[in-house]
Amino acid sequence: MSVVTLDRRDSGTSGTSFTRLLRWLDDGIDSKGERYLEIRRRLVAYFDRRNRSAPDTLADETLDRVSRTLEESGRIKVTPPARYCYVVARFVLLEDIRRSQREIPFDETRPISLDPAANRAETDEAAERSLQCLTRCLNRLKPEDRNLIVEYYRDAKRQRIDRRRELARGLGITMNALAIRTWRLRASLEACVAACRNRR
Amino acid sequence: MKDFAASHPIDTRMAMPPTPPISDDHLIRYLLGALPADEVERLDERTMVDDELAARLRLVEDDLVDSYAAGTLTGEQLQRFEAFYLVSPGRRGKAAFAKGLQTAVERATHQPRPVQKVTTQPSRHIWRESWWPLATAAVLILAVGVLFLQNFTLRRELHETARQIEDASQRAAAASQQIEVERKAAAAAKQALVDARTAPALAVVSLVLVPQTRGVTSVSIVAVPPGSSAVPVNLTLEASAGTAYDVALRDPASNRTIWRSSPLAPDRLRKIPTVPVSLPAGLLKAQHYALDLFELRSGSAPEFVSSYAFEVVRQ
Repeated sequence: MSVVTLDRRDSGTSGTSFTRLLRWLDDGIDSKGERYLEIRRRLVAYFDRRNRSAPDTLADETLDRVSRTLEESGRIKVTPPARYCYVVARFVLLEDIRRSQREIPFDETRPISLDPAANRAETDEAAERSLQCLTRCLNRLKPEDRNLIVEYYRDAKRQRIDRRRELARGLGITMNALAIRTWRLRASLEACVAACRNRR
Repeated sequence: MKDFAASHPIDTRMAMPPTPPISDDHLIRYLLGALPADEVERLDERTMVDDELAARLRLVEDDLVDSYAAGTLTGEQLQRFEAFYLVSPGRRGKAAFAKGLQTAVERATHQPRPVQKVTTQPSRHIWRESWWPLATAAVLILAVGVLFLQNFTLRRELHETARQIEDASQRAAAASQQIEVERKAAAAAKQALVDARTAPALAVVSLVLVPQTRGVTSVSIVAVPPGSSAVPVNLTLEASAGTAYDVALRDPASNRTIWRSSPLAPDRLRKIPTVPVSLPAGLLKAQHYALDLFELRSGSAPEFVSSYAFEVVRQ
């Protein structure tokens, strides 16, 4: 299993309580931080589906609260851990909705550009930047992973299904396992592109 | 229904009690905000707690976003996708990523390659080896694609910049020509005035102009010798002379005053009083002119007295 780098520098959780949180989320099996990342991903997606403006911040806030509870009470009876995270996330969501009803986010106070040509140029530029980042990130993948992505997403409809079946057979895995493997590659590519764009 | 439990890399310790299966279509409706609130809450919890469902949801979402990027989404799904799904910046980012991935894959697979036939299940080592040449080719194609794109973008920018520079040069040249014309005209007028002021007084050689009448009269001709700087003229007055006058030289073609004298005193010593005026020769071209005579009175506007027509002939 690959080593997962966990960055909690921006969080209010101390090193000890973070370790305790990781252990509690693992529920007895050491996932090397994978479980934490997975739960955080789900929380971000949950807040994003609810159209919150800062889903990452809300996910971290949720995990911080869980961590504080663990710190204060020593243990949490609700199982599985993901269910308790969801319960806390609902409160965080409701609080954020209430807060946003009182405040006007800075972004919403800015005038919207009505010049379609300017918007189009901006969009084109952003798309071009993303494409350059994507190419760079693809080149960083191991050759077999890069090929897997290219082959998995090429073609359309029937051809695509046939190709995927052939890929799975070539790798000696099921179609579902192939889907999950490529999803992981895709998720890492997305993260790489996001980081690349933020750096530029 | 996909068999995720068999191959899912995330452990299934969180397995939920048996629940009715959820179709992909239902998940799509969940992603597109087309389910009632209580069902949304139920799925919120399940997709958080149920590993299998969480994984399936992600795959369904990727397929949905890929369909949008490929332009194959239609009808209500397309409407909901644009009205609901694309509201969030994060999800817009996913859609943009899907589009980019599609472009990158298209570029990488632009040149047709034979599909590798796999008849048996090879070991991972063999599979890896057989894909190396394709991997190298894909990297090269991607690199060439990026270089080509960058080259194209640079060429386009260069062309645009060159065009802008050319436009600016043309505008600058036109402005420069216009300035030069105006500068020459101003210099000529200035020189004519200087000449008129500094020219030695020529003897007035009975160049007398009479006021225009309604009847057809012959127009006086003023011959301007070369090198003249001033043309002295006497304008006859029909009535008794006032104390001060001024004269305006007018181009009848454009009806524009091209020169105006300083205040002039009438010559009362003549039998018929006249107003002497010295016209700047440099302003006079071979054409008809009119001299408008105004009487100056203190406390009131100049009063038009008479107009004198003449034709200039350059010698």
